[in-house]
Amino acid sequence: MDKLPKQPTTMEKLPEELLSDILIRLPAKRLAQFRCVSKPMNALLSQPSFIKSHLHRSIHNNDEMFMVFYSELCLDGEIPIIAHPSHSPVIENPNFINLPASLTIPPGYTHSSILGSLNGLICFALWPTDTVSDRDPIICIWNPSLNALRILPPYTIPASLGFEGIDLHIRFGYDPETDDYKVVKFSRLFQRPVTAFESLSYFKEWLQVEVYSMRKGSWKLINDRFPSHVGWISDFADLSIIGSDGHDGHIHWLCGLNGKITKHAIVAFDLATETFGEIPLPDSIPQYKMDQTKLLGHLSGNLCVMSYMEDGDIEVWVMNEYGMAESWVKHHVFSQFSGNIVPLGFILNKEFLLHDDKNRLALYDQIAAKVNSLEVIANSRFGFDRVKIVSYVDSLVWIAPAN
Amino acid sequence: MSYSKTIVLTNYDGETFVVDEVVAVEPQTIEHMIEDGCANTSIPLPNVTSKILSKVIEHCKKHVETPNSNEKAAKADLKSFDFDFVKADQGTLFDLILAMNYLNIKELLDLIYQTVADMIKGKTPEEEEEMRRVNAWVFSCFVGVTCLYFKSKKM
Repeated sequence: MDKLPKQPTTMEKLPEELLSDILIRLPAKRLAQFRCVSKPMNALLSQPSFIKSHLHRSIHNNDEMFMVFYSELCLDGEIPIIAHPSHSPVIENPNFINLPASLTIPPGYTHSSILGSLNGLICFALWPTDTVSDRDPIICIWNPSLNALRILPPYTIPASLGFEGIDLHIRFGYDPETDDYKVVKFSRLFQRPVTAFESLSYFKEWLQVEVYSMRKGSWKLINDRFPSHVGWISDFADLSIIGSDGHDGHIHWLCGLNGKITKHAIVAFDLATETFGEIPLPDSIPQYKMDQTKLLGHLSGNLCVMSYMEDGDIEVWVMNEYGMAESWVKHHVFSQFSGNIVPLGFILNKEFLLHDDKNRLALYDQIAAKVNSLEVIANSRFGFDRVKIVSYVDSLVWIAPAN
Repeated sequence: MSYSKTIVLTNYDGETFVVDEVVAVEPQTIEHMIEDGCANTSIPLPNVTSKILSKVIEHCKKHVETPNSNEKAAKADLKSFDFDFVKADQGTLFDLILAMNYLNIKELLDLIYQTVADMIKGKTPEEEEEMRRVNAWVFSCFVGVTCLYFKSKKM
């Protein structure tokens, strides 16, 4: 046997699978730097299997966080985006992510909104000033950890016919079947300017739906249309928590159907087949009441809905078998606590986020059946908009478009 | 359980270590070799230096000697032993990873991985630059520490 003195072991001498076990524990930002170290390192850190395991570990290791946008995306960067780690949500980390340096905001664009956040990718839109009606919103997909930004190309059906004149819906989702991230966009026009009270009857029919594939790098018009009997959609403008209801290759909207008595239903978009479907709500949830709020989300991977009446109980229903109306189960009921507590929805795949009577965010502890306030202000610090909240996990996920 | 039987381990440097069998079978790889009857005289561990081997034996001894109970104190003691155990420089930890992986001692690997990852996380850019320089990143020589040597012996 060779009796040469053994050299100290260095990292590169570890077999690849052992090295992966170390690297998987590092934040994506650091791994992105490591990719520049050498070609083999870059190859290892770019393997889809490594990226998936890294993401998986982050999610299951409770490394997820929720991000609070106090002013949507503040385009001048003056109002930071604040991250709260899920394992200790009281901690505020205002510098966890910053707007991408490569984002130059075109003239005439003044505000932005978050459209979704999935597996470390944040999708947002830049909106033109209300008075400028000949420009379409610009949609971007962004991985803050990698500092990667994709500005989506223009779509076919313009969305810019004056904001009073259009009902536009854009959502972001993940299709596990093709391992692709997609943006779904559809709209309809108003027949004529109307007041909010009479708006429902003055919409024209839904225009064709467009889907952007991150893998293909392009938009396409699809054949299936948004259900024509849908009167209104509860979407990102109304909600505090954005994009928590995407589930297993589907995007969901809580909708009101046309008709004399407004009926609610869930419209689902299957990202793999690119078709729409409808899912009924649990029978025992009141279909429509003025003071009722319904919120969609998912709990441990199951589609769920939260329903509450002012001064009444908050009910949480879970659909145990996806798409099967008979599998709705009442999962949780909690009554209003002392003071005015308003549910905001589901976050981090298992938590209920609330707004407490002292204007703070709060999480509901399902085991102890109590509300834990977070010392996090729940309103915009600047008064003009609702705060927007997304779940976020640091990841290496990025898809370069096909040539 | 009697401590009568001993096993002889021979390491990279040719040194021999005499270990009680109950301690020696803590690593699964050795246990399997004993079961297969190919360790009647001495077990060669050509990838492991004496420094690392004594550390590994120390670890196995501690884990064998600590009563396997749900007692809080015993558990806490073992935990603090493990934490002290991984307080080492990166080179030693890499050697330990190789040895533990080779000997199939999985429970400690997780802690070592985390320790190394924390070391990397805590590094300043200057230190990282230094590490990059020292390691030179020649990945072509991924030394797969496999059981090849053992396999050829067994056959």
